[in-house]
Amino acid sequence: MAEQPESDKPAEGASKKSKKQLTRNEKIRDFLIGFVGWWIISGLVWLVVTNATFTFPSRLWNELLALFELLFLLLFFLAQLIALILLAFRRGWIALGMLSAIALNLTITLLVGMTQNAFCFAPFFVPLR
Amino acid sequence: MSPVPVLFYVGGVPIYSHGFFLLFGLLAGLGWVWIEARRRHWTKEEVIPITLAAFVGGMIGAKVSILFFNGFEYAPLALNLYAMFDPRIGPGSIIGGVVGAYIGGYIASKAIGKESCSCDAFAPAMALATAIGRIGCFLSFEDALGKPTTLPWGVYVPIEYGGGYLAHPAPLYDILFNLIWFGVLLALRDHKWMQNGNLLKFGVAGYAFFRFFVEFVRNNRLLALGLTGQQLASVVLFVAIVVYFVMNGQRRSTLSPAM
Repeated sequence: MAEQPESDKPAEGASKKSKKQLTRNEKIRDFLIGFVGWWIISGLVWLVVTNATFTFPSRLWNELLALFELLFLLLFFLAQLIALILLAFRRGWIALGMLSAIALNLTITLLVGMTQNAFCFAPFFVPLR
Repeated sequence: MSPVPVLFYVGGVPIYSHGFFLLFGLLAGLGWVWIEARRRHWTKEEVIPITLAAFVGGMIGAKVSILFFNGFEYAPLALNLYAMFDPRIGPGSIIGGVVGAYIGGYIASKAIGKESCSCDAFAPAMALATAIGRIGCFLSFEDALGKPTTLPWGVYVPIEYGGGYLAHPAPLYDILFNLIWFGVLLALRDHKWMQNGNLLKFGVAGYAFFRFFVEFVRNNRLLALGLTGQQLASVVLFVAIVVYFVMNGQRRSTLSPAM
């Protein structure tokens, strides 16, 4: 039988590193904070972005608005990634909850994607607003 | 050979070959990671967060990298979190997906306290998933398969699929390579030099090497120096990994006692 590779053994310092051993209930609580929290925050931002339909008479202002929207979405995306990484090191179960929420969404996307003739961004993509 | 964009219908709903084999490939890859995890005695406290992070990282990497490969005009889609959950937009790039999965898995490994990389379990899974996923690319005649060819195995691509000529069946080349590569990675997985993340690096380097050459018969956009974005990314990946192996080899020979 093959010996277990060194890299696959749990780190000896792992338990020392973690600040506190969580109880089962605390783990569930943290997981739910991450999972439900992600849906609430992302849902609220999505509602704001999709319902904010400002139009200006000037083309320049409308282009600036579109740029602002793109910038806002990019910052929100980056903020989520940074929060996820920071939480992974400090409150691992909250991060796992967030990660599970994103993974669930992506899984649904892949399942629904089977019914769409969607290639790698081309040629059938439909531009979003 | 005619394109098979729709594999079958379920209650009148079409199931497209591209999406079906993408999902099937990911599931097969996940299954293989599970098998490897059991063989390597991973605990579920390690498997679940690392696999989840690799999956999410891979999906994000695949989409964000489109910005580099296809151009900045794709920014509203590639940099928008919500666009990632839009099934009308395709999955993105395999190379970006591999890099994203690597970063995601690495961060998760560190976060749960593993001091060394445990990502080798993903190396054969990656090759298997790519081989299966490419079946969908071939059946749907994605990107008109490839450049025109007079070789006897050229496949006729109809005009409505962007062709009107016999083309290189590039996805088939990808499938063939990845099946062979899957076998090579399986054969090497217990080798003493292929531990601590080296198997995955070797796997990625091999795919990058192959991808650089297969891009010459594909229809991707040229980015710079007459090369596609995928080729440039492949060169960077391959060189970075070779440099890592050379430096690691030098360090190992310095640390080992003189004979």
